[in-house]
Amino acid sequence: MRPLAKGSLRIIATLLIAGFCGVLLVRYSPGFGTDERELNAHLSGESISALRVAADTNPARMYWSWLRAAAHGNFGESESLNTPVATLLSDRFPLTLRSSLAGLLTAWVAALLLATISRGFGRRVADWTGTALTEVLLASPAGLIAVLLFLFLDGSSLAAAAPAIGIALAVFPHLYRNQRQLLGEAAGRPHVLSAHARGIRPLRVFLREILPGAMPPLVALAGTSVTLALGAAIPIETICDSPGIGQLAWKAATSRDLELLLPLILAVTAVTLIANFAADLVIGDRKVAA
Amino acid sequence: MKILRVLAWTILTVTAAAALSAPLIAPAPYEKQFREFPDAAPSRQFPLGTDELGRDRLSRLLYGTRISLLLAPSAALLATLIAAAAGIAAGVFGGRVEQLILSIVDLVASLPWLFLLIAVRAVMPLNVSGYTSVAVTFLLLGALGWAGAARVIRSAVLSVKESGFMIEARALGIRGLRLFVTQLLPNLRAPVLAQFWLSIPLFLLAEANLGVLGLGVSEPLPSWGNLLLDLVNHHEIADQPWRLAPAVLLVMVLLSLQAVQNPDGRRGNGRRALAEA
Amino acid sequence: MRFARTSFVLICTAALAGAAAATDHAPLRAGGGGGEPVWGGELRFAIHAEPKTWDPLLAADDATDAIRVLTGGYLVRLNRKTQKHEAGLAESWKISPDGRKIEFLLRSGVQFSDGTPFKADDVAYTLKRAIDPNLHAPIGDSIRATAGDFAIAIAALNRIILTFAAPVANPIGMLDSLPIVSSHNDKAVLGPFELAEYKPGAYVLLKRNPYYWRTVAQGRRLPYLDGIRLDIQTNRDIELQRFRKGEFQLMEAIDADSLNRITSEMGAAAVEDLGPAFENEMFWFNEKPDAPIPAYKKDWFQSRNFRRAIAESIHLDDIVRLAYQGRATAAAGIISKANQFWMKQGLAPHAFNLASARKRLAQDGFHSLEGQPLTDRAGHLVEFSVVTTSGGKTRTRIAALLQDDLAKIGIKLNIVPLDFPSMLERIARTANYESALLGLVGEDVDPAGEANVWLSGAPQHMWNPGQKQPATAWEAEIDKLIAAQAATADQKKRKAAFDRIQQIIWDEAPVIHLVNRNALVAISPRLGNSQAAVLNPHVFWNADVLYLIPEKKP
Repeated sequence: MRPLAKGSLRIIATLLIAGFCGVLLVRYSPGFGTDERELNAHLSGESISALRVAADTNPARMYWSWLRAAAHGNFGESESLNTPVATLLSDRFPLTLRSSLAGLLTAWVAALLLATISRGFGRRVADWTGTALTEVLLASPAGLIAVLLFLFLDGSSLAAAAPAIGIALAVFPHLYRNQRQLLGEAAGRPHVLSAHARGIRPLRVFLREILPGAMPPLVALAGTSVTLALGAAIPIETICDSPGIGQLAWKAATSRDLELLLPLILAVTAVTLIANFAADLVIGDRKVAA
Repeated sequence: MKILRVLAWTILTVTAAAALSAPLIAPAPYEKQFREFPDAAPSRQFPLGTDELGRDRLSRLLYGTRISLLLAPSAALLATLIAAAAGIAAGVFGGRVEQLILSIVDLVASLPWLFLLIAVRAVMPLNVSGYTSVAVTFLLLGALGWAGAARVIRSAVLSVKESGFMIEARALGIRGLRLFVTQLLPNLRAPVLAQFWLSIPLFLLAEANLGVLGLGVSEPLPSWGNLLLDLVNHHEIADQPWRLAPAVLLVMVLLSLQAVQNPDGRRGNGRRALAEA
Repeated sequence: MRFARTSFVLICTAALAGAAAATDHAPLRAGGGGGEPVWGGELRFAIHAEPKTWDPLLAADDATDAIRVLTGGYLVRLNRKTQKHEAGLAESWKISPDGRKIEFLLRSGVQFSDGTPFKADDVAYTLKRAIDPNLHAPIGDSIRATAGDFAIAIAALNRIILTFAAPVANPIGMLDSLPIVSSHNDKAVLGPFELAEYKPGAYVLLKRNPYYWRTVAQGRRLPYLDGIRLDIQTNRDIELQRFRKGEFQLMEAIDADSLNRITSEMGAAAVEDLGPAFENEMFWFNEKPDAPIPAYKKDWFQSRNFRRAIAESIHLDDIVRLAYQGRATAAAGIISKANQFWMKQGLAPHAFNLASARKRLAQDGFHSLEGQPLTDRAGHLVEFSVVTTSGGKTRTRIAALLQDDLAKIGIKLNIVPLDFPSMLERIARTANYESALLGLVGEDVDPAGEANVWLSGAPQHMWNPGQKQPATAWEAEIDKLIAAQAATADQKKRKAAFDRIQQIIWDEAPVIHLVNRNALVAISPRLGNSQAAVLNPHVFWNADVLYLIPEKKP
């Protein structure tokens, strides 16, 4: 139980630091606290001065008061959307969760299948397919993929799945490249080669020798892929016009909306930390078992 | 396979040579506006046509290739070096060092660095040259984009540490720095290289996306990033297929890079390392 | 007047001085072959940002303005097409000969959307609330600036009299963008639609106001539409895509590329080029004395010769042709050609003339050999930066054209694209920039409402805001002219004052006006009764009579 307690402590400490770094980044980014109405020619000088009166801008105090309010369940109100942050997040979370899960699952199944066939069984066609797909996808900006998806899927029965497909396409190349590498490496290990030499059936070699060897980094990759999916959700949801967390994050960033960004930063950090921690736990358990 | 590799090397060499000799072979300076010929189709004078301002697309592609092919690998190198240092340190030392490094990695992976990039543009003097601004952008991308790779490398260290030949090597009495240099490092070459190749296109594209925020290459300098952005204007592509040239070149270069590096993953490094030991 | 975030922007309000020339040539557009208007249906189009407030009096951004236009009831309505005022909540009005008194006779039997009756009290309440300096309402600030103090008297349940301290030039124009709010329920409206639902970041849903006062034959209450769905869509490519698929029925502002695309796919009937818009693409230098830029650059920017030389080096025709594909007009000044009454007759854009530009530079001690970089008297290379908004295709092209033009006289222009908040901080707060390229959207026809741009002491005086004393004699003269035109109700005298201001700005060139883009709109063939006009909003200003022809079932 101790690693779990220690890990939780580390996660909480890292989260607190992440929050503060987030406040610093937003607070000191240019244009923080500006309002486009400052250029409205109808407004009198006094009205413009009133727009410019800023609340406390000391980042430490800003963070502290946010934390105190959050501890009481009050996540504040988004300035750019004029809506309580808690409402915004709970409205939008399910959509992103669904599309991220579906996208991740699709990408994992596809990548693992191709990587297994090509590396585990040395099928070149599978390798070429996977590699070509990977390179083309890597060479396409996420924005471009999203635009194309939007063009082809909008109005069709698959329109609702566009963000999930986009996330799958964005995550796939990273998964495939890493898996291909990891499995290839595991397949090249001496004990695998000698197993092949002894005439053991390829499937058995794969399951008994190759896969276990590649397992720890594969689990770590699972953790990273969650963060990748969340990162991809931002441009994809923005362009596919899908009202999820990714689109919200983009709106918050472009309007320097700290109240909204802070919980998002914390959430992304928490997901990353927990996913990676879980991956580490799995690897650790395996070590103990071995 | 051999033919493929030769082809890949040829593509890379020709692209690099063409990019490096852009000032000599480009039909026109990249910023030269032939205002009488905007949006022209390919012709003898403009082999890839012209853009909306009448600038020669081929010349812009050559110069853009020069900038991107130089800077994206530099950023990838920087990111990979940081990732390797962090990943190896975490994997080798373990314990508190590992915990600390992993926490930093998670932080770097989750924070919205976009704001830092925007802030850096604000701090930079207004009259920096386009080259400086793009170099700074790529370096920053490199300095920030290492977290994912660090985790993968650290896992690779862990799995190498556990592997049979390491145990054998230890049994042979190889310890400490020697074990690190002769056994661990050679076996990390492949995953580290993989991370390097993987991140090159990432940085190329990150620059393209930053262009929208005014953080990438600014006018009139071309880069693959802003040439690719031109494609987002999807509806004109069908009529003007030559505009796809930057995308085609990018995919070709990436495929070639892939073919040239690790041609056959089955040739294990483990065996070679052990044989050398 | 406000800045355009991208190179084209939706704008939604206009107030008109009585004399603007009307352009009433296009008949009502009946969708798909004419016929009887159809009742029901939901109109759908995009707004490009989040509404910042639900208080119609505080509307200061495009999205909020769109909602204000669709939900607000007005004493007088500006017909955007005929550019004439029509009776709204006021059945009629009378202005005293000395221009100091206006009396409204209110329509009787009108109800708010909550069913409560509309009375003179509500008008008084709205006016008092709008001009409360602590509310900081743009419309209120503008009324106080043009009308000064005034007394409000309720003469009867349906009669209200405003008495001004001094003659007011255009009291009607001042009121046609003031939505009347209810004195007892801040959600109740008098316009054709009311708010039904708001999903932050996604859409605003408006439903028909069942008590809307306007009726058609047989006394049936307008609007024809059951509702309007405003999708919050910042991406113009997606907006275009949705329009092409028939999901949106109108687009208020499109660029030339989109216009060509829609024309080729849906035919010329789906688009309209309304001619020069009330929008100015402009380039100005930072002349603020304490700006954090090198002193020698301030000397350049504060020199009239330098600014005029720049103006004469720019190929405006190429900007029109290459950045707008011809769908724009070279601008002579801040008042767009669209504003036929107020634009100074005979004022022409600065002519392209490199010889004259070189002569002006030489007078200021700049020198260069042919093809060499320009240097100033002290030997500094003439190099400066222009900040501009990033992402917009049109503005990026303009910047590249400017850069190339200035290179011809040996000036190096560095383009610094910034995202909007960063840009805003530099031009409105820190003054940390050298020159700027932006679009300015005019909201009013009468320039008096936006006089803050001209007044040297105002924060919106972009090249040198917030001056304690006018920095130059010509800025002092402009201040005086603004004050003089505000003190008279005589349109001729006011026009003469604004003509003089336009001439001064042309002579001194603190701002180089580049082009007025054409107002281009896209209108679905399904939309009936549309009367697109160059005043903003172009298409949905008459939303109460717009109707949708149902889609044909395949």
